[in-house]
Amino acid sequence: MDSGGRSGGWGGGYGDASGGYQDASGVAVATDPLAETRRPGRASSWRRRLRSVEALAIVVAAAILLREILVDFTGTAQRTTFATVFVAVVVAGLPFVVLSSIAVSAIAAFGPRAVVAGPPGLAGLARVLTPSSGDSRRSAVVAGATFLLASPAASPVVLAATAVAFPGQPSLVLARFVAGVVTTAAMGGLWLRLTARVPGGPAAAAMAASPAEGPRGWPVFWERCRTDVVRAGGVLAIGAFAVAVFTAWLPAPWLDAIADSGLFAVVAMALLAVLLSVRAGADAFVAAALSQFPATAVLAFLVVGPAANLRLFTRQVARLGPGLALRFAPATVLVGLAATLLIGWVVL
Amino acid sequence: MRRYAQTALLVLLGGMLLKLVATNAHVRYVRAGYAPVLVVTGLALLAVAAVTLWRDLKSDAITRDDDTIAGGLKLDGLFGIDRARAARAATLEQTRVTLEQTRVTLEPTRDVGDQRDRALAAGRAAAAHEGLGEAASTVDEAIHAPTTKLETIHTGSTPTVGGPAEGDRTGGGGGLGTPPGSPAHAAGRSSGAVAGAPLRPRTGVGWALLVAALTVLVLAPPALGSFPAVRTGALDPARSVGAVPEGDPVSLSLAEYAAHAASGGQALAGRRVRLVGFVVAGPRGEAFLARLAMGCCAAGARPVKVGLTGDLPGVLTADMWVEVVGVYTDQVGRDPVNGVSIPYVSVITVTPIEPPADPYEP
Repeated sequence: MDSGGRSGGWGGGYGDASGGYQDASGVAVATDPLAETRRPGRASSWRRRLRSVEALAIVVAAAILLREILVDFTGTAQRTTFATVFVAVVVAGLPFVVLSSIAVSAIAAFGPRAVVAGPPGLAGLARVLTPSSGDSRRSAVVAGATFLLASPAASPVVLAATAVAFPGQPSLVLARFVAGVVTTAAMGGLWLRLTARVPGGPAAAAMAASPAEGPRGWPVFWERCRTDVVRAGGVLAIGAFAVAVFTAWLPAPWLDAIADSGLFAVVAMALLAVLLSVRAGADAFVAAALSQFPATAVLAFLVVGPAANLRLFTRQVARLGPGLALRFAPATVLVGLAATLLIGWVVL
Repeated sequence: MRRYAQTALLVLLGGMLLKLVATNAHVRYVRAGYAPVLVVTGLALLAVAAVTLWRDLKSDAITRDDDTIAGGLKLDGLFGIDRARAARAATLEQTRVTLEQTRVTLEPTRDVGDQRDRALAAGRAAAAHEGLGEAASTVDEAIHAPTTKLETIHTGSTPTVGGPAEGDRTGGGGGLGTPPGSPAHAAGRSSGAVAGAPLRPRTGVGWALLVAALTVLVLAPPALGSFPAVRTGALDPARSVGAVPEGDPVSLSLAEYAAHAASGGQALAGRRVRLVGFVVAGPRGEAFLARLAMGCCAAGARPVKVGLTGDLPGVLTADMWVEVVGVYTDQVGRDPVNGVSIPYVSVITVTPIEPPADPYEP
């Protein structure tokens, strides 16, 4: 069972966040002293002994003790540039990681159930498009509103992050909104068709992805906040690492050649977004770091990334099966690219 | 990355953001105006860390207390885990044997009643000991849990489900009073992650975030300098320009100078200008004055370049910050990277200076 699935919005990376379950009753929490260290299968013995908080303390202590060596090591202009770019993306993106984590945790803890499951926001959209007989008009409206709040395409947090990451380029924010909604709507339609054969229809598929029961309220909110900041921030840090490597080590003519290659630049940025899987709240800062690329290529990164990425794909494989996921994910990339080119041509 | 490590990471991140703003070092990485956002974010991170830490400590306090009552198991926290694990495995085996015997000899319901009584006593004692109301409520849950048949208890013996000795630890990892499949049982399984699918959210990527926090706190990388300025093509100068301000020499940013130069330079005729930037050497030995212009942050910053011509002192080296006083010249060069046209300034004096507090183009 996957407790977190009901609110897989914001780039959709929340499906397996079951952290909240542990605090379900407020008392049945981590009652097993071995819980922190027990691992399934054959864990090596040092791993069993070394808890992650101790590992963290060791890493921090080592970094402080070895400060001189590390400073010497990063003394060259190239390595300094790498470190500065890496840090800059993380520092710039962190506020929006926290903001979107708070928002998604609030939805998970207090929002309507089973509205934003499945591929990012798509099941919520499916519910809006096909309210079943049990759904009142009001619940469809609530589902629609939550979809708008939680979907990476239309969420105010994501759009605000985009506006901050690209100051003076409001057209990019508009383009992201329109292209994102177009992509989500198109994939929502496909999602309806693909899940039509699932017994019970799309609503049942959405429910399967998000158990209706499960804990709610403040315990879920806090637990989710913590886990979400760590995960979304971690993915942002990996994205920042990648662009810092590009900035400092990729030969400048190569980067410029790719950036000036028109359609190839667009496709390259879309594929980079699929690989990096940065959450929608912070991906604009990663894209902004690749300032050589034209606006349409940046738009491809921002539109395709949240809709289709590796993290999402592994979850779709787990939930929908490899057959369905292998059709769905590439289709999402293609639809996202088509929407990007169309909207980019009109708006940018 | 487990609970306490996650909390520690949040504390590091929040502290990192607050420290950056407090020491004004954030201008190396982001725009100066971003400071309030960073402060609020830092405080929010510390708040989440504080609340989750408090909740973890509270729940772990209940656990430790239960261990004390059960006797012996508090060694978990003092000695190696393997010893406790071995002890637990032995207890479990003993329990299986005992249960097998009781099943034959005793009436099932009576035994379940026994378990409950013991759980009740232990839980009440725990509650009295620490004065924790929640422990008492756990006990109540155990009492009101649906009747469990002994067969279920027996066959449902997973490593998390203890025997009589551990059964006293009411609510611990899905104790005997809890039927399998109930929320408490699920909670025990998900926190224990025993032999099943790993239900704990994967937070391994958090280590990448730790690297970022430590890079700031330990290395404190400086603002970007000539290395990216050489590798990156200059920004196109703006087309719209304001009036040239008063003063002689008049202080202009490099972007303002470039914009005036690109629109013909009439406004600069007969005026001396003062420009500040760092020195960048071109591939053929030309000297440029450059400054990086941020978009949202230092990553992706693009340089603005102005060529230096005239009587240059021989001591200019790359990355050296200088103040240049000069006059407009209609000489124009090309950026060696992206071919954007670069205006030149005819130098009168060049003075080495300390890097400004905000090294990026204003």
